[in-house]
Amino acid sequence: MGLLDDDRMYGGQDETFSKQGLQQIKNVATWTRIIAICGFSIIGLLLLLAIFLMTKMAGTPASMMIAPVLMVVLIAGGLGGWLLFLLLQYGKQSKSFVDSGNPRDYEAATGTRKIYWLVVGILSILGALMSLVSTFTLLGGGRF
Amino acid sequence: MFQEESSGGMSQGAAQNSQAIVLWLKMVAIINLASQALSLLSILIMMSSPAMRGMAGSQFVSFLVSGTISIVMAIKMLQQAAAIERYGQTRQLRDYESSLTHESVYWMIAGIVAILFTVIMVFLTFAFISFGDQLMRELGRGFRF
Repeated sequence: MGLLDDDRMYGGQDETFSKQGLQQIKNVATWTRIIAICGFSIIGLLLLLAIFLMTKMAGTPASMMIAPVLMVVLIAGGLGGWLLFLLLQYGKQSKSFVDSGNPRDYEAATGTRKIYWLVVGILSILGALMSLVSTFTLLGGGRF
Repeated sequence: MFQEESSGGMSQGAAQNSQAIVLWLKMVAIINLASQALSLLSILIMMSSPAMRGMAGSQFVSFLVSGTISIVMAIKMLQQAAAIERYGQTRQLRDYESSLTHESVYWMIAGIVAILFTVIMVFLTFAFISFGDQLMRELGRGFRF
């Protein structure tokens, strides 16, 4: 029996999560797992496209694009795959907490969430720096 | 701040883990908002150039959709961070639960976007594989220097 089925855990007391709180954790668990599955599907499709492109481009003048395209797909796929794995873990651990009520499960979930946001934060800073450099290059170049 | 083993149904570790994401949530949200502002600036610069005005129009439409989603998600992240911070001060679980409400909305929006994006990607992949030969011929022509 999960926490959501156990009336003893409800009542809006501060000692335990309320029914609404548990429902929110369950929603988070559902959506994060959906996102992870969609993300893995997208990575798979991108790899399929990359393989398709490689076979078609071989021997054509466009074949010089194979290496950079493959490199971008592999780096983005690897990094994205790792983030999606963390998200999947977070969803599973949150669901496990709702089912078992064991606080250690939620501790594990929040630990995974911490790593996820740390990685996303670092990537966002790097992305912002790259975006700033390209914007100022565009503005400084007087292209427009 | 979290001295007790149990903090409102959460272990001390879970409470500390939750506090640790506040800074990153704020940072990612602010970067997202700044990035949207930069996108808008780029579109306005493009609009000032007669040669680029057509492209800027289509970019503006795409900005309206993606920008709105990004801004709503960034606001949800800031609200989640504020609720976790409040929980750190009051140690009332209802404050943490309010952060969960914002978090679930955030993931729901991200999930809907992910589902739409996956459907588009499936369609594009199969379209690309079906009409790939024709596309490759065009690409090959384009790469003739």
